[in-house]
Amino acid sequence: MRRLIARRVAQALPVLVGITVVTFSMVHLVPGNPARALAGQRATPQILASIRHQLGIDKPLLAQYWHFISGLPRGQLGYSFLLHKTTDALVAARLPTTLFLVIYGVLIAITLGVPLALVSAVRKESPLDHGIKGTLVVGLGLPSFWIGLLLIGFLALRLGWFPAGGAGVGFVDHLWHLFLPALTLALSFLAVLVRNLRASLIEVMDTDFVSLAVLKGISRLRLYTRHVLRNALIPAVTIVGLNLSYLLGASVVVESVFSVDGVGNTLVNAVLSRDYQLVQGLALVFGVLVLVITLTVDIIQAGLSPRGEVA
Amino acid sequence: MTAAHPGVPGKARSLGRPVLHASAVLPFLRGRERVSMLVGYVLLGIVVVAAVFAPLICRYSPTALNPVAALQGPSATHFFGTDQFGRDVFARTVYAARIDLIIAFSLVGTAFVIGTALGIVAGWAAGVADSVLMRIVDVALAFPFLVLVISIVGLRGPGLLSLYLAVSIVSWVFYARLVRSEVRQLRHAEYMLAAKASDYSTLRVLARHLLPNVIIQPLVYASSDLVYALLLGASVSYLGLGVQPPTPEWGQMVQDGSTFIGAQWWLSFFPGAAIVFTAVAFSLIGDGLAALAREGSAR
Repeated sequence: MRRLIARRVAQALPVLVGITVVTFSMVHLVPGNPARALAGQRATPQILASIRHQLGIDKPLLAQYWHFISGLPRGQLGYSFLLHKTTDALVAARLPTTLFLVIYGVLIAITLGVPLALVSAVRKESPLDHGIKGTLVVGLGLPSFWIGLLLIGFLALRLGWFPAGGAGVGFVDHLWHLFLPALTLALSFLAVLVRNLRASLIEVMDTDFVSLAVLKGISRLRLYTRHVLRNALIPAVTIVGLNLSYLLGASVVVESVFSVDGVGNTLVNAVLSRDYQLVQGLALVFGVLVLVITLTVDIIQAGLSPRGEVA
Repeated sequence: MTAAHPGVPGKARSLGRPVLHASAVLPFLRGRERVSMLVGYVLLGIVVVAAVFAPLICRYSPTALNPVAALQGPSATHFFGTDQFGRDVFARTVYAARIDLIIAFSLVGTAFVIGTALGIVAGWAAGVADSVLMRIVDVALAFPFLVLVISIVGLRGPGLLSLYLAVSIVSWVFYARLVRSEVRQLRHAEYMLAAKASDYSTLRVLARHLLPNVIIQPLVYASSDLVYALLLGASVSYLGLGVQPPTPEWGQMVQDGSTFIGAQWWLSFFPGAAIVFTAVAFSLIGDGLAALAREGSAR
């Protein structure tokens, strides 16, 4: 197990370096001169020079890169010139909200998706199954920003059942404020989840142990809850794991629609206000986050599987 | 559709242009899958016709201001109502089909061409080129796709060209990874060895013998990728980073209507519904092509 972890971490290290190189290079994608883009056309040479110094782009490239990564182990991710805060302080304050939203969304998606997939798989090729599959085709094409907006318009503004934006304070208030955003996130992921889950459920039901259970004459309810569903939760977790990167990306749009103060909305605002260092720092956070989560899921899975040591 | 049949180059070559193959247009699928694929073609046909013949379909110009008729609900004169400037939402939605279709197809087309080419090179050359490419793929996949695209667009400045560049910088990796694994499976097939032994140029071997056999998977992927590209383009424009006003684009129209969502729901509802309509068309065609490819490889 320890060797497995060591190997996985060793495999992740080059990717980590790659992530820092990509985010470091981002500022150099700014067409022309980032300092001028920040300061405007009428800035004096002195102001430009001081901004270049603050951005750290007045030094040779390698020195810049070293400056960029040397602060990372201490959590120094840069500084937002517009919010007048360090990126790490912003991340520390806002990342929990994003993680809360994503986990909340995943839980809703699983709550809705597992029964749907189960019904669809058990009644394979029935009108009900085809109805569900047809709905999923529509679900796959739902833009999250549109669904979110319609939910705001109908459930929040018309009926007043939910708040239209913000994240609230405290756990219960979080659950209440983030319900519509989480539901939006869940709906944008539901089709992918149910489609994949249905396929793995059908596979499970074709296995010998299910046939044996049927031959032994156990009740249908017991068969589905004890044998099939249990074995379906593992692929469900895998599907969620594989799509965490997608979910984090989708949360950016959802946070923006509902003005939730997470890192995603911060990224959009940073991009719109051309806060280059903040964009850079947040992109890095997202990259590392995905890498760490994937690595963890990978190790847990390998650890759980009987053949984990070989994998 | 003829099956990819390793060892029989003649048969393999017939897969060269699967999209133009009669079976892809009028698929020899049975029952439900055939019906849903045909529905997909019909839906897409409606969107394409609307985009091409927009001036003939619309009674109003998509950009003409008419403050007297601002914020009217859907009616017989304005099917989808009017916005706060009195612009006809129906006309704007129909005209927007042009730009959204172009975005979806150009994003997928670019990723498909670059990714397939690089995937073939990596899979064929193996060694250093392969390792380098796969590390790039790993790093690109480490970021949430949307985060990377938004960041790049933001740094370059909003606009259609930025959107196109940002997506193209990243999206080819999906195709490269797919094609590379196909190539690695096929490079030792007998007919590939035969082609190499025939003293053909490498380019000819790759283009005439390898390409036709590895192209099916990325094509199937591309057809479902159209859904994603459509949603991506609309999302980025929704955030104000893609298509800029006054050019009508669905995502941006949803954004424009968002301040009126409580009372004037039609401003955001119809452009969003147009996205769903188009996405469903792409999905149905994509699912059909996937089923076709499965049948082809099973036969």
